[in-house]
Amino acid sequence: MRRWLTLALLATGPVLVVGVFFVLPVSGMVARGLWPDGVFDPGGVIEVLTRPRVARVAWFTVWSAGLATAVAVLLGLPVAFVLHRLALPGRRLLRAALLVPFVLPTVVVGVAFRLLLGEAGPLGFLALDGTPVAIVAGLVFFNVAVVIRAVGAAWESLDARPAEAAAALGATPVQVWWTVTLPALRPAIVSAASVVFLFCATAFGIVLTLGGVRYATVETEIYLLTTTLFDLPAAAALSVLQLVVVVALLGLAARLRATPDATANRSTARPRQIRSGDAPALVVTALVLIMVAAPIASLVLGSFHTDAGWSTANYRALSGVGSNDALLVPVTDALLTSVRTAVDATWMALSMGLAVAVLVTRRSQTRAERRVRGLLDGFFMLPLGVSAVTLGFGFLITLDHPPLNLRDSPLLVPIAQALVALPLVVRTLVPVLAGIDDRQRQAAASLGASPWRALLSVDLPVVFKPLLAASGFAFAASLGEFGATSFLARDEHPTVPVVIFRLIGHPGALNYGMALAASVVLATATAVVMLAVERLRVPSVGAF
Amino acid sequence: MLTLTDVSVAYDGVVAVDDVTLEVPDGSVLAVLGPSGCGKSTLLRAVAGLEPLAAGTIAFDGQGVDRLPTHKRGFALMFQDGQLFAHMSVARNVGYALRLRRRPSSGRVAELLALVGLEGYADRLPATLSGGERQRVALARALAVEPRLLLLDEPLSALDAGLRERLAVDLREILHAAGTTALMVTHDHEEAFQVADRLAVMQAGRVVQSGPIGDVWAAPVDTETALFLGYARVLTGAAAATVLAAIPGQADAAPAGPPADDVAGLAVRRSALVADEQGPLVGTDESARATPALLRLVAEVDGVGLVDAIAPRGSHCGPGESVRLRVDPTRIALIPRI
Repeated sequence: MRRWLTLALLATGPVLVVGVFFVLPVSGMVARGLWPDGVFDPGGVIEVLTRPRVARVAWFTVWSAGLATAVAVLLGLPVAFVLHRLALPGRRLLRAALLVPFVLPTVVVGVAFRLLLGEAGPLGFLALDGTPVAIVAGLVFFNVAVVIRAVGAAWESLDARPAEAAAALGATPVQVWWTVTLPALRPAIVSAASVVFLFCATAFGIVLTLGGVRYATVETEIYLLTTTLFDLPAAAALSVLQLVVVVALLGLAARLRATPDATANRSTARPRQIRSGDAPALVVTALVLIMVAAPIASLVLGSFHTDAGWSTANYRALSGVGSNDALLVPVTDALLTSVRTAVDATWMALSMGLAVAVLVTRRSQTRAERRVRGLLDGFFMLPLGVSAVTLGFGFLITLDHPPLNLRDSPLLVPIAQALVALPLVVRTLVPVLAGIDDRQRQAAASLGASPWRALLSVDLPVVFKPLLAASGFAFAASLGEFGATSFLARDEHPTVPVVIFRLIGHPGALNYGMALAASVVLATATAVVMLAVERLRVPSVGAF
Repeated sequence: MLTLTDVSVAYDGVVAVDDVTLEVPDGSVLAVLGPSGCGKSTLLRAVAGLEPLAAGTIAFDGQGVDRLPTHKRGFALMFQDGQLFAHMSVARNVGYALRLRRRPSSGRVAELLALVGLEGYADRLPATLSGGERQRVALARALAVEPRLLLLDEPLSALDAGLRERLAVDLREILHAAGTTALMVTHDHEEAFQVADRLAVMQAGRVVQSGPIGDVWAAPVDTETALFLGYARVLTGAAAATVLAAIPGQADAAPAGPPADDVAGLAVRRSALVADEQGPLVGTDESARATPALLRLVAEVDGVGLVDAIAPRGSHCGPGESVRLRVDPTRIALIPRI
């Protein structure tokens, strides 16, 4: 009975928050689609889904996300090997650097890619601007880090001896890879691929900035339908479709996720010296590094470029509102707002995430209990896949009237960002907590420690660093969050990504230069945070 | 024949294997015996091609294999815990090396499973096997393509005592039946004695003694080796002289003469002194402990000090009682002064 009470107690907070701020808005959004004008009418949804444009959008979403996932996995595997198994000098720095794109604001990435691929850009001759290739490249840029982290973490803790046993039995390196290493890594690869597909399929900012009107995904289409065409039932219908697909995918990912096996050898293998046979993997790594560095480099260069030549004018202009009063507040104010919002979002995500992680990793005594914990685990993963646009729009339509009128609350944006960051926190903490042998707690209890005392002396020392890392990760992710924030931020208190988007939308060289400068500032801030996180050496950060 | 010449292996500048020279003749089993951390596993991994050499050469039948990657050496390595591939059935594990070489495997797999006494296990998964069964499967897998050299890394030490003894006997029979040349490392002298023909003792990265197993056994090169080979105590000076003088027919017994200048000590096993009414040594019993086969005593012997001794089961030796002892010359060894 006490166990259930503790479980309920731990679950109440997060469930309530996720219920009110996630399920309510999203179901409000869904209800709009299924009950237009208060009457249950699924025909409307079906009508929307049979529109030729919707079919085209859905198809584009599937193939662009699928292709981007495939490319990210193919590029990510060799890099994961090089950065996690080889004694490459500076590999920690490279790992951190590769994680930066993942937390970069999508708008910034969009801007950087346009700068690189645009007519005047260094790769303009390829004429890729505005093509699906650019979109897929952008999606890969974003998500290759997820593959590297997830597969790399699995690879790093992979016992080297089965591979050595195979080699001793006469298997060539290629045969070792196909018969031993790949089967062992398959859960990590499939799980990473499903998460990446999810991210690609619900990508918003990048498709919006790179695809324009010609190429739309379900996510941008929802945005277009709500903000421009005011076709709410159609938007809601698409949200339903997306929700169904996402839940199915999440279920798949959860099923395939590599669960920490108590009997598995968790020892981290010594990084091996580089051999001549590693050349192909090293070449791919160099290629990926260039691919990740090029857009960022062109962004930095662009930010120092003005009509009058090289100068820091764009940066100095950040204390202003841009030409033609593009903004309501100076960018520096937006930066302060961003930091403040991200701090709030971080503590919210952290306290919820910690409760959830403790909740789902406690050992279950009965089958019913295990099932409840499993369901809760899946429930808190939902925000990972549900589109930020759906969430933001749902906030707008459900939380703007009594009993919960949060439309003007300064907490609205942090709450939305915290929900987006929640799965990142949970996924960082769960493997760590699950890795603690329950017998340690039992030993503490048998020596007279109360459950709280046991938590303090067994769990806290182990979880302290991952907790710090998770907070850094959540902070960086909140700093760059664009999808939900773009819906919810009030005009007089915008965050930096919102300001950047607004600046690109306004004509004028100074506005564009300021957008680039603000992007560089934001990218630097997230990069610094991620470097600090990487220094904590928590393998589960960014590994889903 | 495997030949190691002046082999050294270093980790980040720390020498783990230091200037080792060894030979394993065809068809023989060499056990490398040493305490944990002495570098014996590193030596084995170097032979397998899993660790780069800092110096020296490894050759098989006169041909250097140093430059060959692991999979081209034709040596099979069997790990301490088997390292079966968890995602493959027993039959697929055993047939792994055969499939790599595109050889028909089903008949050979059945044959190998019969050799290790696991008929009918073909479709089981490794996770469902006991520790001993897993080691048998690992052995069958390693033997599948008749490697020219089998490397065994503490093949039995993950098993419990009874099983270890039985499997050691089986292992020896299987290796001899297959005529396999093998190099085995272990920290257990009994395991080495049961399986190997030849022995090399390793300490702190160096091979301190090697040779046919009986020779090494009878004449340990120094005190540490003696203790590691299972000798209970090493007596020196007057104590050693007293025991040697008590050897029956002392004049023509094998380890003859009083400790001269070239003898550093006398290694005695726990069963070197035997309770005997007519024994030349006299002492007082300090403790007595019954085992299934005999009575183990610790006695304070005049002129020798505290030593171990045995008495037949059923003899009445209690603490504090006086006891007479004789020396069993096959249970002692002289240690030369270096």
